[in-house]
Amino acid sequence: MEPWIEGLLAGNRRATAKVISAVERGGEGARSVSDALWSKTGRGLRIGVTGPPGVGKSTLVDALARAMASEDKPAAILAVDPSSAFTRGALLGDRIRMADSAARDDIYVRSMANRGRLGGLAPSTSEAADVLDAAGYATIFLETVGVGQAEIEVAFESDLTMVVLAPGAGDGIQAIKAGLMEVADVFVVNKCELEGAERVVSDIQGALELSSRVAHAPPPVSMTNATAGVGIEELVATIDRVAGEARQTDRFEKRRRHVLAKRLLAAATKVAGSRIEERIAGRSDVLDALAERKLTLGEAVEQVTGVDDD
Amino acid sequence: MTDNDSPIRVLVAKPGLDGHDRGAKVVATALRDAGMEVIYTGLHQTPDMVVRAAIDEDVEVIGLSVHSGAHMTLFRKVSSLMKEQGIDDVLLTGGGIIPKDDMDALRSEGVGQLFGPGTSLQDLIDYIREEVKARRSA
Repeated sequence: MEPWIEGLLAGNRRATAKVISAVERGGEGARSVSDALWSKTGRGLRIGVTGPPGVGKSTLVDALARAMASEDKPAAILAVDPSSAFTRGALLGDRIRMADSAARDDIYVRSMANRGRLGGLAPSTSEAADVLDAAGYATIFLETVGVGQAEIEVAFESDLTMVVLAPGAGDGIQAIKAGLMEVADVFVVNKCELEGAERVVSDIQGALELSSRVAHAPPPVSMTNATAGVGIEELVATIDRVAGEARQTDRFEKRRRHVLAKRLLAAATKVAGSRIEERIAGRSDVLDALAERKLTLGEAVEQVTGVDDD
Repeated sequence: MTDNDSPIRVLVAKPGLDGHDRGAKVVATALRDAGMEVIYTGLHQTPDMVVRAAIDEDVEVIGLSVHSGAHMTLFRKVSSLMKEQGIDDVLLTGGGIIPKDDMDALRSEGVGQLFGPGTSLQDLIDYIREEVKARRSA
């Protein structure tokens, strides 16, 4: 991996791509990448983009990336699409809507299959974002699968969460009930040229008034027509303002700490889980005793998680 | 997952002005059903866009679909860009309306096997799997 890591740090695109593939594969390769690049992560702004299917997330992310990227502050897009539960294959079609972004030297577009993970992101989305972060991408968009309304997972892997809605897609207020209210830092009503857009905005504002959100100011609601480029500049300004305000208070750092704690827990749980699985496999005596009701479940758990084990 | 277990990532693209995308969509879907991760970039791709996508997405296979008659130019251009940008270890294959003589000519220039109309999708899937397996163990 070393030559690829060196290449990535020197700005080589192909190297960046190879290193992302290595973290997707997991295992030792991913671990060595993480060890090598961790000290260089934390600079880029991770923007999570979620919302029901059909609202225009990809088109919007493409427009935002083009508006925000420059040679000094390049942007990256991680677009997640679902894998088939039966065949493990995937049709990754977000890139089609990002042709303009993909052609630019200051923007990097990568499609990821969710490989069975629920919640909107792929298992290695954060690790892939780490790679892009270390490679110097100033803004990294994490675009979720867009199936259903419960995709708030992205809020736990990003610095700023953008919830995108549109008139006629989802069930209006239904779409904003399912936890999206709590996690949004910015709301966007896309396809604002369609009838009903104003109503979606007022629905969101109404729901915000009713919810018991914490102290700081309610999230702004922007309107865009991503295909026509309407409202994009204003949205960029809004994102800059929201991120800036969060950085000035300690909210930004608190949020990052929270995200890191979740990542640490997930990674540690995985390791601990594998160890316990191995232990259970090696202790048929415990299983026997459990089956014969000589041990209770609680006692069996103590046996396989015991600290006195090697 | 080991290097050998990871899903095969394939880029399916229609370069040039050709608008007949049904074949490409059928192939993309078949490859997905065979367990591959298919990045479908759709119509009107320039050779530069194809190679850029192949690099950024780190695919092991590029599949070009050409029904316009411009296959010699397009395959050669993509192939030379691949060499130039250091990804000539990626399999370049594809299909469409391509006469056998042209397929043979391209083959002799380093392009992979091409698949004309009426080819079985299973043949394409098997070909990709074999080629990728050989390249991964090299």
